[in-house]
Amino acid sequence: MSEDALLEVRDLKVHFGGKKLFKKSMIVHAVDGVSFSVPKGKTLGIVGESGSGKTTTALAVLRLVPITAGDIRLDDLEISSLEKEDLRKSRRRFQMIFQDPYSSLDPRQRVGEIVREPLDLMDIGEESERDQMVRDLFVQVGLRPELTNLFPHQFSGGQRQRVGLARALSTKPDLIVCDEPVSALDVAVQAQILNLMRKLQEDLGLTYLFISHDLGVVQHLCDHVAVMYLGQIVEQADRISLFKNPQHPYTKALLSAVPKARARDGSEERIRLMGDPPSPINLPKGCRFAGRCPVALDKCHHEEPPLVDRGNGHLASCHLLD
Amino acid sequence: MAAMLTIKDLVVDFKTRAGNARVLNHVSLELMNGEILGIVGESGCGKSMTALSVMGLVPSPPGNVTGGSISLEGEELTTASGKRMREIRGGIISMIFQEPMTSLNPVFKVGDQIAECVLLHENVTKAQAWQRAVEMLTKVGIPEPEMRASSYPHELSGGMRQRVMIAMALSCHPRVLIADEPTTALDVTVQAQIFDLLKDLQKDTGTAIIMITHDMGAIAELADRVAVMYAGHIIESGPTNEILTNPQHPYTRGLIACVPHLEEDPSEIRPYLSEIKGVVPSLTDLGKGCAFADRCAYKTPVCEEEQPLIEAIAEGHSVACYNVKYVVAV
Repeated sequence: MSEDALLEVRDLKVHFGGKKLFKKSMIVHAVDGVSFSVPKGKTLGIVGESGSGKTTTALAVLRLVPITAGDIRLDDLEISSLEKEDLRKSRRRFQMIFQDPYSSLDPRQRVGEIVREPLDLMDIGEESERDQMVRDLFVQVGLRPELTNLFPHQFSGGQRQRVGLARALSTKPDLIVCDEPVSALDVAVQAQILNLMRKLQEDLGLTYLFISHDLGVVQHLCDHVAVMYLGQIVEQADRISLFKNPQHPYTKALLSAVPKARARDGSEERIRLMGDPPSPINLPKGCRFAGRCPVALDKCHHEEPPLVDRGNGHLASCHLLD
Repeated sequence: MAAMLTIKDLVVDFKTRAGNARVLNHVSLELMNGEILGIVGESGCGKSMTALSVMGLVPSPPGNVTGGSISLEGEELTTASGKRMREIRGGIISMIFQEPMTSLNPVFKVGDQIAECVLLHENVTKAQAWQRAVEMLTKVGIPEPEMRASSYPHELSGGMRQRVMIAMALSCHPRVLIADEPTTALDVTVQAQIFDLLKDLQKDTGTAIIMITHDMGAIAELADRVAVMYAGHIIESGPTNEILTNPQHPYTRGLIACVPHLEEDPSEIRPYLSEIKGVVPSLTDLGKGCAFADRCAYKTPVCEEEQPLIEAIAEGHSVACYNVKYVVAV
């Protein structure tokens, strides 16, 4: 799927920490060799538990954390090698919306100014037209344009997330990275924002990189899904294939852990995962999931399984599938 | 089965600058011996306030219990003395909270925090209380409990902290456990562990549980019965399977339909999610009619006149809606 890819990430590594005086060096392998691509106008979902490296991957794509190794390409733009002013200018092409609509908007700025700021910074449009552009953006995300003079605290969570969307859309980006954009919202508001995001994608041809721990939301919104565990992608496939036919034991456990909102008939058999993921500082040898895996073989504790195609572009890294 | 806890016509008002906000509006609930009752609703619907009222922890001022009664096996709690409430809290009714990090004291060992609760409620020595703490940690499935009892909260993962909270809440063998969004801050795999734990403990000890959540999935997983709240009212209640398969109130229907549920066999076609249009009304200017009327697709003139009373429509299934029959017909 790399031919028409808008975003292509190859062997991305983000390590934190390093040598400390008088102490053993501790390196956190937050992202450890991740590759994926997102076709134009599509959505890639990244799922995983906290600490799996999904947010760090998103931040690395936006160049908001230092990259240890790897290439990131957005269309014709080599994001991973951009520096300083070139990087700043290119940011108009990739924007972000955040998880917490309360802390991601400046409480002392009027929401109109918040949405206008990227236009000023990136010098988009004529200065005299920018206020009108802001009002148009407000309409686009379903807010009344006369609300531009209010402050963030006068809005509800859902409305604030709409402001965040308007701000992200203001520079007409190709890619929007969404880090848990609906997990802080009530379910009724969540549905409104998800529908808005889909409509904007259809209207504007946006490409989303969608980070979430909510598998129901990911299944609804994403075209492709990557499952991360301890800094690596363990399974990656298109939406139908991944949910219908999960291959990796971790993916299966994750799917079976989701409570289903339907009547119980007592037939459900849940895969119980014990414990927590190991620390990304002292990575286990072999498969990183082996310690919690209900079906681990002896081999899994010694040899790291490669991420290989199991047919039709469905990638999974597990010795049991060989 | 006998009722453990009976809430009747409970009214809680908050005085705010914008006027009087009625956060609980004639809420009536019954918690049976040994059952798990789910309370579900969006933020601000009053589900946490119901729990705080039972615990006698409504922040006052600005809050006030202005009417109704809460009775624990015949004992009235709304008028109970401060001393008696302190005995009840943690001893007979205990609570676990959403954020296990902020509800544990960061400067004390978790074992001491559990032991403190035991010392307060039972006539035991410090050593016995510590022993009980270790026992409780074993019970909630914490590996190496003797060592973990000497850990500080920051040394534990989120799931472990929530287990500590559960151990603390259950340390004095309460009759009622209130769990306020106990797994919202946790990963799904850990959430599943905590659900299993709650179910197992409930089976062993027979403690009645009130489970407060916004997640219908969590309700389906755990609760025997469920009450749906909206703007301070209980608008529908009944057995969990009945509510999930045969919801009657338009709001309950909307709440179930607007969540993208995980399908094992997803279809290629993805319709837009159904939305509940509009927003939750402000509690300070609720009209005299049904609180949901402005957002309801089935609104009739009578809905704007008076808040409908909650009435039984089938065995154990009650709904507060004038148009139940009409909704059913659609």
